[in-house]
Amino acid sequence: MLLADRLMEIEAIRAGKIEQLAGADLEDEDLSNCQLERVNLAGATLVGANLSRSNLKGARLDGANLIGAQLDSADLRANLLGANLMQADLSNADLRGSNLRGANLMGTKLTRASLASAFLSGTNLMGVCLQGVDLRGADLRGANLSSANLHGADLSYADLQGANLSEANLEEADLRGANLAGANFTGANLLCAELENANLNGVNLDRACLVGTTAEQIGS
Amino acid sequence: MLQGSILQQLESAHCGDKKSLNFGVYYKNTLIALCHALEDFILESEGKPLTIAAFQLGKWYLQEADRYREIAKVSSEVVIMAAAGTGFSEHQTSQLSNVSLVGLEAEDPVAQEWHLIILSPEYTAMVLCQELSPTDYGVRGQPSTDKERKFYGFWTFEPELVRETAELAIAHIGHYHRDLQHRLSSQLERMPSGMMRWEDLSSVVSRVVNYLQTSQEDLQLIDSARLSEATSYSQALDDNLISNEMQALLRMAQLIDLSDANNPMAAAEVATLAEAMGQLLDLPAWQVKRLRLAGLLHRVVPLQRVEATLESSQSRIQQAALEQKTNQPKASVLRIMPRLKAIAQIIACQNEHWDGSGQPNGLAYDEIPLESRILALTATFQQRVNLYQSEAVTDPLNRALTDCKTEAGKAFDPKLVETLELLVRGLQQGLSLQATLPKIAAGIWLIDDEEVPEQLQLSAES
Repeated sequence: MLLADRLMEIEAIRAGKIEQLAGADLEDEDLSNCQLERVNLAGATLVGANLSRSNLKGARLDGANLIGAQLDSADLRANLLGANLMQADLSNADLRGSNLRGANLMGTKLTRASLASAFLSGTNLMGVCLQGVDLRGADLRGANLSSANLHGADLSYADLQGANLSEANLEEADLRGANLAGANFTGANLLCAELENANLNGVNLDRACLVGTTAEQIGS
Repeated sequence: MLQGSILQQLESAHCGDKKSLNFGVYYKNTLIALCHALEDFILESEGKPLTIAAFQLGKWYLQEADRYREIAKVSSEVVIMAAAGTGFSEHQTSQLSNVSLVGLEAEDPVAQEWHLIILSPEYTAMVLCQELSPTDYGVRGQPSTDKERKFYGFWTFEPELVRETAELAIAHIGHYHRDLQHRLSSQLERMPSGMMRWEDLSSVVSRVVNYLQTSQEDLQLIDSARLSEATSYSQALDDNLISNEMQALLRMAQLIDLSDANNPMAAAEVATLAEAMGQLLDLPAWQVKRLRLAGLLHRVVPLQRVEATLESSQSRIQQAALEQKTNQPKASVLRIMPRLKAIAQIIACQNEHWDGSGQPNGLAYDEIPLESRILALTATFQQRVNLYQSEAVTDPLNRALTDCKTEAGKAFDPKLVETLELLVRGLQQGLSLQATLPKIAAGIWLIDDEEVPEQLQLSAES
C-alpha cells in the first residue's frame, strides 16, 4: 500500500468512518482521543498503538494484540476476550463490566482503573498491581491472583470462588460480601482486610496473615 | 491480636456488631503525625480532658515528655503507660501532680500497644494500635529501621467508643494502681458525655490533615536525598499518609451522620444513589467515582440555606450547621486537601438551583456542575425517603419522587429528575443498591490525584 493511502486510511479510522477493522494491522499507530465506539477490532494488531483517552465503548477487541499499547484513560467497556494486554498501560481506564476473560495481563498497568463488575473469570492476573482498584462485584472465579498487589482494593461482593490468591497482598482490602468459597489464600497478607459477610467455605488460609480481621479466630 | 490487649478487648466487645471497627494499617510516622495533631488540639480546646497514653517503652515517652508538660497544664489528668525504663520517672513532666505513670511489665500485652485516649465533654479522640508481632510481619521479617515499623488498629472521634476504651484502659491500670483506677473511674463517671461542636471537629480534622501533609513533605525531602534506598517503603508510607488524610475527612462525615439520629445513613445512601445516577447517565468512570466521594462527604461542608421548599426536611444537624454558618471560615475544611479540590467544588455548588435561585452564587442551568446537580437531587431525595420512612408513610419512594418532581425546573434539573424516576422504577422492580460505607481504613481507593479535567462543567446528556 502506498504511504499516502495508508495515511488516508488512518485519517478515516481516526474520524470514526471505518467500523470494520477486524484483523487490521495498526501497529504503533496514533489513535489517541478517537471515537471508536462499537468498532470491530477483533484480532487486530495494535502492538504499541496509542489509544489514550479514546472511546472504545462496545468495541470488539477480542483476540486483539495490544502488547505495550497505551490505553490510559480510555473507555474500554468493551469485549477484550483473550486479548493480549501484556505491558499495556491501562491506568485510569474505564473497564466497568468489560469482558477480560482469558486476556493476558502480564505486567499490565492498571493503576486507578475501574474494573467494577468486569468479567475476569479464569484470567491470569499473577503479580499484577491492582492497588486501590475498584473491583466491586467483579467476576474473578478461578482467576489466578497469586502474588498480586490488591492493597486497599475494593473487592466487595466480588465472586472469587476457587480463585488463587496465594502470596497476594490484600492488606486493608474490602472483601465484604465477597464469595471466597474454595479460594486459596496460602501465604496471603490479609492484614486488616474486611471480611464481613464474606463466604469463607472451604477457604485455604495456610500461613495467611489474618491480624485485624474478623476471621482472625478461624486462622489461628 | 494479643489476648488481653485493650484493642483485643474492644474488638471482642464489638464482635458481631452491625458496624465493624474498621481496622487499618499504620506506619510509625503516620501514627506520630496523627497523635501530635490530636494532642496539640488539646491545647486549643477548652475542656480539660482526661488523657491516657500508652507508649510501649519508657524511651518513647521521654521523646515526647516536654510536649506532655504542656498537655498536662490543660488536662485534668494525664496517665502514661509504658514499660519502665531509665529516666522514665525522673523527667520533670513525670513529677507533675496531675501526671501519673504506670510502669507496665514487659510481658503485659498492653506494652505492645500505642494508645492515645482523649476524653472531655468538648473533645473526644483516640488512637488505638498494636504493633505487628515478628510472625505477623511475614516473610520479610521484622523491619530493621524504626520508622518502617507497622501497627494496626484504628482511630476515631466517636465519643461512645472513646469512653468505652477509656473504661477498659482504666480497668487495666487497676492491675497496677488501685487508687489511680478509682480516681479515674469516678472522674469518668462524673464527666458528662457530649458531642463535639462542628467548628471544633472541623478544626481538629484540618489539623490532622495538615500534620499528615507535613509529614509527607518531609518524606519527599528525604526521598530526593536518597533516591534508590527503600523507595517501595516510602511509597507505602506516602500512600498511608494520604489515605489517612482522606480518612480524617471520612471520619468527620461519619461523626456528622452519627450525630444525626434521624438520618444516620445519609452519606452511604446518597453516595450510592448518586453513583447509580451517574451510571444511568453513562458518565465516565472518573466522574462516577467523584460523585461517589462527593456523596460520602456532602454533609462535611456546612450546608447553605436551602430556600422555602426544603426547609422542613432539614435535619437537626443541618439546622445547627446553618446557625453556625456565620462563624465558619470561608474556606471549607475540604479545601485543605488539594486532591479534593474537585470534590469541594461539587459540594460547594450543591445548593444551587436550576432556575438560578439557589446559593451561594445564584448559578443556573449548565453553569452548575453536573455532579452538583446530581448531588443536590439525590441528597434531597434521600432525605425525603428517610423522612417518609420514619413517619411510616406508605410508598416512601414514590412520595419522595413526587416531591422532587414538583421541583423539576425550579430547584432541580428536569432531565435529572427523569433519570431519578427511572432509577426509582428500577428500585421498585427489584433493582437493589448496596448502600455500604466504603472501608474507611482504606482511603487509598478514593484518591483522585489526576488534574481536574476541563469537562467538570459537562452538561447532562441532552
